[in-house]
Amino acid sequence: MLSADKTEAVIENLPITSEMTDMENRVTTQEGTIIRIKSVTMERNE
Amino acid sequence: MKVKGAWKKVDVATIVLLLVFVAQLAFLFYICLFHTRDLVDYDSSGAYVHIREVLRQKSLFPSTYLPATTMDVDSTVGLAAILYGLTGRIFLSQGLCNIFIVLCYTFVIFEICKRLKANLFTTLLICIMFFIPYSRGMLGYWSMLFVNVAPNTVRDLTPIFYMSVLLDLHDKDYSVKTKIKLVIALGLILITTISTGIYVFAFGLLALMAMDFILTVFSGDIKNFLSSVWGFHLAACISFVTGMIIQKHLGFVSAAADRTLISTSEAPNNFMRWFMGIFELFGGVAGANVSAFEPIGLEVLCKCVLTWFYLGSVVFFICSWIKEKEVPKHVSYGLMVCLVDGFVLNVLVTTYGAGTFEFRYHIIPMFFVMIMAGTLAGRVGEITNHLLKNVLLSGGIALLVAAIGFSEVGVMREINENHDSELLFEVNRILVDNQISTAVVYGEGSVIRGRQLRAFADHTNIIVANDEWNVAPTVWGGVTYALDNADQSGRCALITNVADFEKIPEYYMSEAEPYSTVGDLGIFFYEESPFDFERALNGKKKLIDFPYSGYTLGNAKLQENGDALSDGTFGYPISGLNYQGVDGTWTYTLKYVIEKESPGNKGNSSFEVISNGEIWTK
Repeated sequence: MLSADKTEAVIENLPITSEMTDMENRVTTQEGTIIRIKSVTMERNE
Repeated sequence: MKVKGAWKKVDVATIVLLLVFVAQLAFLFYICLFHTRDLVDYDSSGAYVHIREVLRQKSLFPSTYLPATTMDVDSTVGLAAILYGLTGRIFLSQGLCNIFIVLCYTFVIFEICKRLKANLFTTLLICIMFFIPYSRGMLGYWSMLFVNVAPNTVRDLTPIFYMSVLLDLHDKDYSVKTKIKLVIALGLILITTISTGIYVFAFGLLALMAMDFILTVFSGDIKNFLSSVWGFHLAACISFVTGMIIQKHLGFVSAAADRTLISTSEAPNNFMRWFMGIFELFGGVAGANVSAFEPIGLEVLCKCVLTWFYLGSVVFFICSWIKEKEVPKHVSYGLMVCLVDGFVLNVLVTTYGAGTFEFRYHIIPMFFVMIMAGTLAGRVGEITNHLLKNVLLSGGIALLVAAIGFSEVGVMREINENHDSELLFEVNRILVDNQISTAVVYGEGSVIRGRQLRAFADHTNIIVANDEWNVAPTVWGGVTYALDNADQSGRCALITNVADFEKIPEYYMSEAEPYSTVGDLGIFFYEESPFDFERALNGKKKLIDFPYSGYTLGNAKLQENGDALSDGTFGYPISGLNYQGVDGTWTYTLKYVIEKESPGNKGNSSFEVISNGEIWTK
């Protein structure tokens, strides 16, 4: 969950394969929450 | 020994031709050494990117370079990369390569003429014909072969070099030199096939083989198929097939492989364009509103007469063949090349999107035609009527000198009127002085200069984007490694035509610092790049996307600085991209700031990665 105390949300070690299609990433907000979205970084682990 | 009066004239004519040829070479070398940078254009800029990538990766097939219509390895790119590595000067390196190519052509012409037992007059005449700056501009004869990056020069040289080896073998010359030439010819066939597919084979070699087939069949002796000539043809076929297999293995499909047949309704129009294409190639037809008595008009007239002479020589030799049942071997080869190429260009659609006939496809047959025309003109020495001979010699040489003179004046006029290279040199100096690692050139009006800038930029990644921020002008004959924001570390610049300034979104301008203008180009600097031209996963290790990188904005609005700010309702401020996965374990990081949170929904907002119903949440 996104926290007002933090500025980064990290999803680690996603096991992604080339068979996966229609991939998307999104942010969901609830009523009364105002969020400023800056960027999404995707990095492949070594 | 006394020399007869008539031959004295021929000797004088030979000396005059020698002087003309030396002057012609001097001018050509001068252009190659001192004006190569002034000739950079939309297409050739890609070759300079290619040279840098070859040097950087130490491979003729650098993985970072995306070729355009051919793989461009049958050019001087490898040699230019070596010279660039030694000198650090890319235009000088390319210019030196062009000089080397001119010397190669001269060698091949001398070799052919030696087999034809042609005198020096004829040999010089053919050399001079080859090096005239006929049509200029990006796809013109001169740019394709001897100046700028001369992209067609190796592939167009291959058929006449092949013929040179064939003439050696027909003369049963099996010397070391012939063997070396034979190996080089097979190497050229291999590399041109890898690069351009069937082009050289279909437009040159096939006709030469067909002519030998006809001659062998008509000889009536099947043993003639066991000659060294047919051994060479067989080796050439093996080299061609090997090249096609390698090209397929590399996964590249050249433009020559994608051809359809001419429709009935298009055939007459195509025939006219094919015919006029010969005049276009030789610069023998004018553009709109050219006065016949201005230097440009006189240049066109001279070249028009030359073109008619070249075509007339073909007609002469056809008549000669019909009448005498025999012509010199090089003439029979040349006529067959013209026949096959004429057939191919009249049954296949060889135009690109604009529907313009690609007159550079005439270069291979016209090389053979110029050799035929040169040998025909060389026969002037056999004319016994001295007055007629002297008139023809004087007139012919005057025509050549006029065509060369007007053309070279035209070359210098075009160079002096083109100030783009000075402007781009200055822009590059600014980028280097300010340690800019990535520069984005934006706007339809700057696309050509943006691509040209790639040739000048030794230390900066240049990204060229059209009005819609599409970077096709960067990657068509270019590289992709700086397109994602993650690859654009360090200082960044935006270069745009003043007229395009209003079209730039606020999120690209909010952090921009105006630096200066050069000509009509405005230059802005950024401490960090805001630009991103790639979305979601691809083969790269790290990628960064922004809300403006292609996301769908739901209950959010894009802010001036590029952030997406939600409106306080339930929903998806950013979603989508719809991409395919790339094998590996990946870490996704969302950067955000919660500006207001409802006590009842505290901690209920989330960041999700979704694939076919599977959801990973944070």
